Amino acid sequence: MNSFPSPADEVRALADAQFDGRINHEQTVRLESLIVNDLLCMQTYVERMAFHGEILKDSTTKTPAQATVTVLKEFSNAVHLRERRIRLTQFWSATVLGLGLIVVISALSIPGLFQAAPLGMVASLSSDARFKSSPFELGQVVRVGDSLTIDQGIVTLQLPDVLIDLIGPATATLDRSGHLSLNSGTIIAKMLHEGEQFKVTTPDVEVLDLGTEFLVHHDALKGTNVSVRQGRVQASLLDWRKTPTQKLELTDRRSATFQSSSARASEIDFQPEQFTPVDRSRGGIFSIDGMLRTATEQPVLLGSGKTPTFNHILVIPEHQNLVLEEDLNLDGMDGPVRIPAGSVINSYLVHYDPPGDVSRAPRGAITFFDPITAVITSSQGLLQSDSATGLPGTQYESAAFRGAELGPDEDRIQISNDRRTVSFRFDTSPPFYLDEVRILTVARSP
Amino acid sequence: MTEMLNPSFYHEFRDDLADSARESEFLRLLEATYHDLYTTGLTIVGNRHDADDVMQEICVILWQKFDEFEEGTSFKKWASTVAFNVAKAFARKQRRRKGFGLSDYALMKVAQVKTSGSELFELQCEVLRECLGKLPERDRGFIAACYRNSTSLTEYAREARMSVETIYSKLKRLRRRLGECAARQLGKEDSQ
Repeated sequence: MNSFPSPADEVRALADAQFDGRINHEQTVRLESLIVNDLLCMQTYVERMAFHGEILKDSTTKTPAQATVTVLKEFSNAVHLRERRIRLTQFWSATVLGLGLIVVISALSIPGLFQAAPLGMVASLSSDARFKSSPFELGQVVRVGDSLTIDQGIVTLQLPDVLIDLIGPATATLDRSGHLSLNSGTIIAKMLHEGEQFKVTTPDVEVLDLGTEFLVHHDALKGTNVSVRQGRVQASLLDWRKTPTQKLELTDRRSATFQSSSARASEIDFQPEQFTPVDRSRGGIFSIDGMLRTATEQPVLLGSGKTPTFNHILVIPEHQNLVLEEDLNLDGMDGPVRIPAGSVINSYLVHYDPPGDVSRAPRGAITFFDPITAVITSSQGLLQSDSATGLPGTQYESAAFRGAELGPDEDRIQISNDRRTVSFRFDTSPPFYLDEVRILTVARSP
Repeated sequence: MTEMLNPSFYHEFRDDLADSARESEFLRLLEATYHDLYTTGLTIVGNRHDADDVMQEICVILWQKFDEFEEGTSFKKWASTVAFNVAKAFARKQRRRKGFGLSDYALMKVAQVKTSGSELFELQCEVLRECLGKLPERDRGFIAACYRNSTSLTEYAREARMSVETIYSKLKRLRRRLGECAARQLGKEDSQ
């Protein structure tokens, strides 16, 4: 039995379902029958679509100028899309036969042929990383065409010749090797090898990296800012057709802003604090794996139970680029260590403090850019080095159970032969679950 | 405050398209009729996501056919005819893809009614704008969020941490309230 008070009510309900994309085959047939056979129903249907159109218009909250920009951008996108489609059609028409043959033969012999090429992997995740859609895992392979969205925290991608930090909220797409499109938010790119090139594109600008460390921030309304901390980039303002119109070359500690809609490209003040979130979270860490996560905020209290780590081991970059004014003598894992005055060192604290007994011993490893010079595992050694290399403003644990207890059936820590990687396996035995280890790397020797 | 469009933006487009006053004119006309054309596309294709896609197609075709537009005649009328045809072709493709959709005959009738009743629909939209203005800020924000969401209400529901059915129920109530308000203003009994 029909539950609608009138045919017009039924038409409105069906039109709403259609607008919302929830209409099915039967309902469409019913809608057709109503509007074709009854002029009032037809008028109701058209009115309802105008109703939705008007609410859409009201919801966009755009000024006339912004609406114009939207119109023009959509128009340019459509032209761009159409040109691309035509080129693609021509390409496929010319090559489809030969390619088809190759694909068929290859598909029989190569498993996974149709999967996009892997480009790199997830090298680091901060402990507060959150994803609304598909979450990232450490070590996960990223491929050409992958859309990467992070809502909060930081994810680091290791691509050929470059490390990319995506700072949430942000969305980017890996177009191909050496090319990333930033749709919104902030990325920091750090080239790993000299002589290689990496390109970042936003709707406003194309940034060609020439061996450096740089930041790109894109905001749909405000445009794109590019900041170079070290090295050199070439940034080209793009017009509506994505064609470069104006080039700026940026070097150490220089920034520029680009806005396609206003055809504006100009230098602005360099703001070093833009890089702080990644410095604070990753410092000189190249990659992490296992249950490790980086911190994004400086912890205030690190006493037992004050900063619990539920499902991970936290690694906290401490003092970075610290120039030693006098020799630093420490009790390292393998014996006494002396770091001479004038050395530039980086310090990292590994903090593991589960709220209770855990069923599996946590494992993980950290790889650094610089060589590891000392791993401090004893509570006494940690206490002695807190003031010299720890974070000012952070209150550390002073109890004797703070350090790691090394042994075959206890905590295990290993340093790789090239002294870039340290791996952990923490034993969790009551009553005290806190385990901490401090790692010092030397960025420059005197 | 009305924000002025940066003239260099127009200038850039004009240069890129063909560096003539005619192209600038096209952009000006397109801006002025954009919303009407969007509603035309929406009326034919029926759902919002298809309407976004078809609008891009409409823009491209209008530009390609702009030489056929005679100066001094109504751009809105000419562009609406083009928009109807583009949207109908789009709807036909969608019907083949999904296996169902309104027939060509129904779409032709829809186009006729939309064209012949344009003044009435404009009046209704004006009234609807007033009704939207009367909604409490929270309800208006909810409606705006639902309509602004360019992906789907399912995704919006996930973001808002509400069930999809809750979102739809609330949206349905607000649509009904708006419909009733508009009907009262227009003095109509059977309109929600």
